[in-house]
Amino acid sequence: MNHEQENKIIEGCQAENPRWQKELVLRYSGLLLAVSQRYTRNTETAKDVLQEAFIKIFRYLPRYEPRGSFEGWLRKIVISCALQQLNKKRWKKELSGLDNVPDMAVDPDIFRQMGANELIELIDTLPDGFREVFNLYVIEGYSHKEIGALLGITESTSRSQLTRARKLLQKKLNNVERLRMSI
Amino acid sequence: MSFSSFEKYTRQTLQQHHAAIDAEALWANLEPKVVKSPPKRRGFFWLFLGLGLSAFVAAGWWWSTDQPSAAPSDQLSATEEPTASTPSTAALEISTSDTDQQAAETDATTVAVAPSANQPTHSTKTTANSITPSSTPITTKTVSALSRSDQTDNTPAASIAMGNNAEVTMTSDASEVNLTVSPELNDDSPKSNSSIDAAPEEVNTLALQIVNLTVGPPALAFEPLIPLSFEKSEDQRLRRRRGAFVRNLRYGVGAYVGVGRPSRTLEAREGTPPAYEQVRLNTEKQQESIQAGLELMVQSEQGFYFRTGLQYERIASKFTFNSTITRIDTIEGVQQIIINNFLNDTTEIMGPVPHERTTTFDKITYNNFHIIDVPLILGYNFSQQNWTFGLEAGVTLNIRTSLDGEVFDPELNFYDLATDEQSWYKTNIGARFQAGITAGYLLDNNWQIYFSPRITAPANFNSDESPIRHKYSGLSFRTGVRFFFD
Repeated sequence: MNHEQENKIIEGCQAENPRWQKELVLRYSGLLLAVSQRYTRNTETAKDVLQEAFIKIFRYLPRYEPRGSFEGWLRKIVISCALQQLNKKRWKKELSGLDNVPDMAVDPDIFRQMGANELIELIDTLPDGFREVFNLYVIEGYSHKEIGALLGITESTSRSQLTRARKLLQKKLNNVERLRMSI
Repeated sequence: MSFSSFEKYTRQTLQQHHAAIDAEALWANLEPKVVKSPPKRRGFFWLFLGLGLSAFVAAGWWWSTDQPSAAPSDQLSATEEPTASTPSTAALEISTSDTDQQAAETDATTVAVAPSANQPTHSTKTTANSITPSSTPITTKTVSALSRSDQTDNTPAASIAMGNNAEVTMTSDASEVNLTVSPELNDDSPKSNSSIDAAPEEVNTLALQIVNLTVGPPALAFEPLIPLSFEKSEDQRLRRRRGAFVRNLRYGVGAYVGVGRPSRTLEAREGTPPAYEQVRLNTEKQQESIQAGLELMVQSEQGFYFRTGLQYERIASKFTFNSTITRIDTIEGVQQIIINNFLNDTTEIMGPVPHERTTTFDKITYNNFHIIDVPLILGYNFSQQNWTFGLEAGVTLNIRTSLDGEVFDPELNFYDLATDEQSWYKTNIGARFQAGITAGYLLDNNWQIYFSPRITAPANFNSDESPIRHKYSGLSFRTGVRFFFD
């Protein structure tokens, strides 16, 4: 979508015009549902989060100032709603037993063959806390300081969660490689 | 291959990934929720609140003015049939507390006497507690005034009309008025009649103690300490009842302390990333509130009361943030050690080596809102022996709100609440509604202790410049002591 179209949608929604509000939903719902799914795992929950996010988007849009990417602003709202949906107390439960994940190299041929859905499935196998940090850091580009503030954890916890998430993913990717070679 | 290539590939693939969704169905669900509805009519809430409070006050007023007085100490009519017609003289003495010397010196009056031999009844409208007819002939009657505040140097327009052609003379000197009544009974009249009229501005404040009264037959004996009032009309009687309500007010002062658990809501304003709301929620933890105050209270005999005073409240929250900074510097150090076993010697090769320094930063700040209010509260107390149970409601008018502490701003920098450079917070949060119940115990006739849970309606603490809307409401428990004046 070009910039001009995006501006029309923003201005229409700021004027609370239902036509442009619908246009925004039609244009961005697929992208934002994908964002929501990465945090919620469950498609139905992801849809609930998306609906709630759209309500917030329409509430906040009248005072939106186009300082950055509009799409980035929409994603932040969805992520915020998704994180609110999650129970932050799962962290401690998921930390145990994951300290000794071996560091392994990854064959690029393995993941290059993976499409978006396979990648999402792979990331979904991570424990919730790891997945959240991985998504926020690697895909959304948040800093550890931002992640710490957003999830209510320390920066160092965010770092260690990311490290463990990476190790776990490496292990899983190498398992996939071994499986293919055995076939 | 490094793992970063996998991350880069994942980012590129997933950032533009669109999930399959029926967007039309989603919009159908959203439309009723997002298409703008008419603005909330919050005015109705305040209208109903105002009407409710007005009705409450009006009910209290009606109750206090329309109740028949259990002890109508300010109004009594007595009609007597004389039982004897023995001639006698009566002396009526009125002592006043009037300090107006000049007025007293010129205050010698002979009041009119209205024969009323044909009227068979003796009617006296006074504020007496009781009037007891007596057939015993007593030759004098004395009325002692306990107080008189409005005596002027004008001649009082008082008249005492007594049956049987009585002559009434009232004289006074510096501080005392003597009133002598000399009835000349008409032997033809089987009954005597006397009535006392006086203009309210002259005698309305007199509290007369009639020690002994005889106006020929019948003689009247009054209980001591009788406040007089002589109004007759319905309007005057209504005013008198209201006056009684006012006179029956009891005043009290008190002090209290309380503790509460405020409920906080944060809501990002339009244009503020909701992630900031989440950051604030995660980094700030709500703590208790404490309050203390002094109060003035006025309570009617019927249990309605109004109280005001000065109240201080402190609402606290805890800001916590942990940060770890790892810094790697290059310093001069030992890069390599060569051990020569033959010569039993070691050689150290110096050079730049990495030095890692980790700093953990734990920031904990207690943020406080300091609120000074004037409560305006109406209530009703129901008494059961020494216990009182009450219901009250009203508003607290904020005088000043200040704060200290730190929070994150949207860029995750620390924002000092004390300086509040961007004017996020109000210095006055206006009026807040509050309601509560009270349970009190009277220790004696003057002292009461009480316990009172109460709720306070949400109040917005932020200005329009703030990126977030910050509201507090809550439940608090208060205990205090009151002293009621006699």
